[in-house]
Amino acid sequence: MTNWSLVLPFVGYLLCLLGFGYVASKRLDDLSDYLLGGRTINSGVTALTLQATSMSGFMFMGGPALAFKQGLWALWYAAGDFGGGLVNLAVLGRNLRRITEALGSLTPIEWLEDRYPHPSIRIAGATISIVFLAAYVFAQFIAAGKAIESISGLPFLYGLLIGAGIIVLYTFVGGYLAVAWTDAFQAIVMAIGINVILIAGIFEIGGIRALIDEIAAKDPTYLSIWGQGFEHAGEWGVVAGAVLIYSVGYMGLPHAVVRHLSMNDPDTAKKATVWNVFYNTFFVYQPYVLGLIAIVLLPNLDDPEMAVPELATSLLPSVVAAVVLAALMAAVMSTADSLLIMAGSILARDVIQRFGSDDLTDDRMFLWSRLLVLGIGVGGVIVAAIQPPGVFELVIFAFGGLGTAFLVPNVAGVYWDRANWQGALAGMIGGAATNITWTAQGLQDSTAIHPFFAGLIASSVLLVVVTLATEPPTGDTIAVVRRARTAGSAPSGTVQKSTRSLAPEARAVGEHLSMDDGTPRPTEGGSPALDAHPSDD
Amino acid sequence: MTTTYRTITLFEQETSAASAERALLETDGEMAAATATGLVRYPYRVFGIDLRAKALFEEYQDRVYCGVDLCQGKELFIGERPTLVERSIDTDTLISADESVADPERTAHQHVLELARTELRVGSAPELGVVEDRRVHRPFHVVECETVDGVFLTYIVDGVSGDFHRVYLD
Repeated sequence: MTNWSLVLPFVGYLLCLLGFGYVASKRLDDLSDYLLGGRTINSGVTALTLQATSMSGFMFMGGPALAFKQGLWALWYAAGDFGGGLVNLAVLGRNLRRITEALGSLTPIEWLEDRYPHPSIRIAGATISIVFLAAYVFAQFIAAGKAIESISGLPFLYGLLIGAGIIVLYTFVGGYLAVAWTDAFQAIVMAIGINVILIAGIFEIGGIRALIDEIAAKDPTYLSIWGQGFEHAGEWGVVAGAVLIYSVGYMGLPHAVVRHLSMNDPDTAKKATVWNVFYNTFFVYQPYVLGLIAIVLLPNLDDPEMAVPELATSLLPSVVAAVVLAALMAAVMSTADSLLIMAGSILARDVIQRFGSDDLTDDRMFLWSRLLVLGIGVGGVIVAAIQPPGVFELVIFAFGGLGTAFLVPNVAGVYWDRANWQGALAGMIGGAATNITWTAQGLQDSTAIHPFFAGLIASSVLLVVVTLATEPPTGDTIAVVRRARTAGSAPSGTVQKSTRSLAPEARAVGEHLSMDDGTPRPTEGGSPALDAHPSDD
Repeated sequence: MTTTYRTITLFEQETSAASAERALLETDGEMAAATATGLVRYPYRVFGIDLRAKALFEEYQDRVYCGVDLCQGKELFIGERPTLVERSIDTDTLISADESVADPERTAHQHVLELARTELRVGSAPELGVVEDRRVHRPFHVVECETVDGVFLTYIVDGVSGDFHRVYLD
């Protein structure tokens, strides 16, 4: 039965977003503004958008479902998630930035190919990225379908078809309606909304103490660190995977590494840190706590992933619940859209442009990108319709796959000069394949080792063994890496304010200045390779 | 040693050596000294491309500019019509182009096509026509810096935008 008091505000909110995006797009001056990808938009807004839209489906559905099923055990994932960004920055941040600056690499796959110069690295990297990004998109489709189901009362399949259809259409012909301001607005509504539901839930139960008591009364093992019914008792291999997937897994994600590579605006970098703290504080733990609240308030919930929508509609006034769920739906669309665009770009830039025929027409190039998006769309709908996996399982699978493929080659590329392309290729393929096999065969149950942890071990072993069994890397790449790693540190303010996109120019100028022709370098008092008396000064 | 001069097309320089030094000094209190030691000129092919595209509610038509770096083959979208000047320049200050950089026009064309796909979300491939094609050099100040800890660093500062980037030397 359709609840119009939910449906009308839901549809109204989405229409307002469309209108907002349309008006914002009209404020841009010319086509170059569009093509610069919102460079005119406030950098803090951009950072907030990146942070929030990448977590939408998982945080609203996957995380709460895990807590609903496993209790406090779910917080192992949250613990890793909370520190993920910081670990990422500490381990890879400074050195990866320096090395990619020195190599002139602008994208994650470019960096891997520059460090491990062989075409197979680009092909394998692109293929693995597309496969796991597609799984990530599937999770967003399912979340969109469930959001529509909870609002409209339509069966899940219809919700899925509507959600996936809107997302694919939005990706194909959305114009600049995907404007970042709209995304950021949704992010704020989501963050506020989830905290409002949380507060309402805690009040409804009678406080945190009452929540813990009620959960303990139902089943004290919900409060165990080993999961409900001690399902994971003593399984440190599973716990390690749960913590590591979000704490170090970030280092393998193309879009997370992109952020390291692309933060060329000092304001973006600084505000990203501020927003990161904001989101970690107000968004990371709340979904899991909502799952715990659902154990008490919604004990007969059939689908644990519906915990947040059900809590929203039962605890909040209809209009507020509809707005929160509409923000979720819009953010899910935005996440899926950016993932699809990223997959299309990887196909276009790293595969078709690089290896395709020179006489490939623009129409054909567009067609390939479209077919990829359509293929992912159709595949996602079929998978979700026949045997819908959980949003949580899909996100963990996608995140784990990307992490196990790229984390070890990324880290080895920075810290182990002996690592070569053969080892990196083996590590990438072996890590991803292990993650897939472990998940598909359900090996976690028999081995007590998390697929992510297993993939990480396989990737590390393969990278080391294959590297040592083959020739050391040749060429000047390692010299550049070593030079960048051991170079004196620049002041942090200078690092933050430098412009990433000038990395290729800086590399070529460095080579020009360092040419071994007996020419003194500028540090040694000026060089004939420089115009020391610029006419305009 | 004789100095050879050549007349080339340059992006108009808007950032002076003094501004470049000041910009770097102001980035952080730990930056103690900055000295611009000269200019180098970096080669690009710059293409003016007429773009026409249709999205769901909008139609776009404009001339956009895309440069291709002739040393590394990387593309650079240029937000505004560049202002160019002709100058006679010491050829030693010109960064040599890498002749193996493949088909810059194709690179620029594909970059604009990809931007249209990702940023405009257009329904079909946009119509692109290259209407301008120039070989242009971009001036970069080379600036030597020293931190309060005595670390020496080298930067290039874009003579057009004032943006800068560290150079890692042997």
